[in-house]
Amino acid sequence: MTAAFVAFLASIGAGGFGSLVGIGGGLIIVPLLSVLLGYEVKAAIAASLIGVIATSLSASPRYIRSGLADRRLGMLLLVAAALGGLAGGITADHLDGRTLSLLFSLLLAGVALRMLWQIRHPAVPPVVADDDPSGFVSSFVEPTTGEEVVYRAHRVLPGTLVSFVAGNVSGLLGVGGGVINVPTLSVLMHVPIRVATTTSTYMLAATATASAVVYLASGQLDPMLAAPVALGVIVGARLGARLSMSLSQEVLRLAFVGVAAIFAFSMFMEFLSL
Amino acid sequence: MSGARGPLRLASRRGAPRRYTSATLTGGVALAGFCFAVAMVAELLGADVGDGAMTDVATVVHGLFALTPWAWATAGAYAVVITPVAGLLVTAAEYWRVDDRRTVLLAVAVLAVLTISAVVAILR
Repeated sequence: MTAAFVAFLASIGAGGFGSLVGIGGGLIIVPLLSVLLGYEVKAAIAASLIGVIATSLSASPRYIRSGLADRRLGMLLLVAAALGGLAGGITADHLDGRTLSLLFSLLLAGVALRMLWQIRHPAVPPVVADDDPSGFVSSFVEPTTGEEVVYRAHRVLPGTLVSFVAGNVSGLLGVGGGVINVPTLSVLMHVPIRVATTTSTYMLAATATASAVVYLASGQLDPMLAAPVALGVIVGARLGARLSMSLSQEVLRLAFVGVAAIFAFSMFMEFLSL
Repeated sequence: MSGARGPLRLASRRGAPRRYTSATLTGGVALAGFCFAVAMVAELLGADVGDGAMTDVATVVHGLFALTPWAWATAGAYAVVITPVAGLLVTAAEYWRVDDRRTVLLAVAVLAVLTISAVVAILR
């Protein structure tokens, strides 16, 4: 029961941070359960997937109600990523895991630097006309200022292709969707970071569900381990979603830079160890 | 609004239907939270944890009436897994009502591709 209590407490933090930056929280939950608490890695991953879905479900209603999560864009990228996952192995036929780890670590380091640059040199948001011919114009009310921000998703086709490739290699690299979704939306497609993190949080429920069903059907999911994790992230994600509304986009961007740097470092270490 | 151009399209995004999807997700996570909480409290009170195959619905239902923590935690896991699917169905229905067929198509495509992904992974 002590382990369950530790898992519950840590999951509050994982859910809070995960919903804030759009990564779900598996980054925290899996090592906690497997390394610190001694659970089998597969059991930890299965419980973490339930936690990621619960994080998304807990935070998304607020993001959807306030119009921050761009569901249409999110669903487009979801289809691409899932198709990429279905076509699994295409990339693996051409690149080995070691090369992929190196490429991905360099890419994430580049993303982190680019986002840092954007914080120091904020771009003037382009004026988007209401009669913009693209199908991906949207708007939201920035919660910290009350101003309406109209934006357009750029490079929709390249963004969709990146999601396809990301879905294709994520299993091989062992990375979740959020760490790819947020830079794709924010850096490549020029969607505001607030929309990128909230849309990514919304997307995570669907992607994690497809994986969780497999663990559930194969009997690898321990519901008694999933219970404290899910309860913790439900509490944490609600707090994270509320906190997110009071943080500026610069702070959100900085938080994601930290996440990208951690992933880049761990991928590089994996490259060295393989 | 599927054929809407320009201002109408942006207007439709501003007025995108949100209420029922949001309510579905909130309801699902509340139900899951309740089930998980019952499981944890029952375990704390010393109830026999119970066990079984998660796919054996009869055992799970029996366990719910017997207040076994395992059955309630399993019900919570089911609620978590089913809610995103329900959310996508409700999203499709909401956009269908405002005649935004492209978004309906996207929601259905997400459901279809994810279902195929899960089935393929289980069969592997």
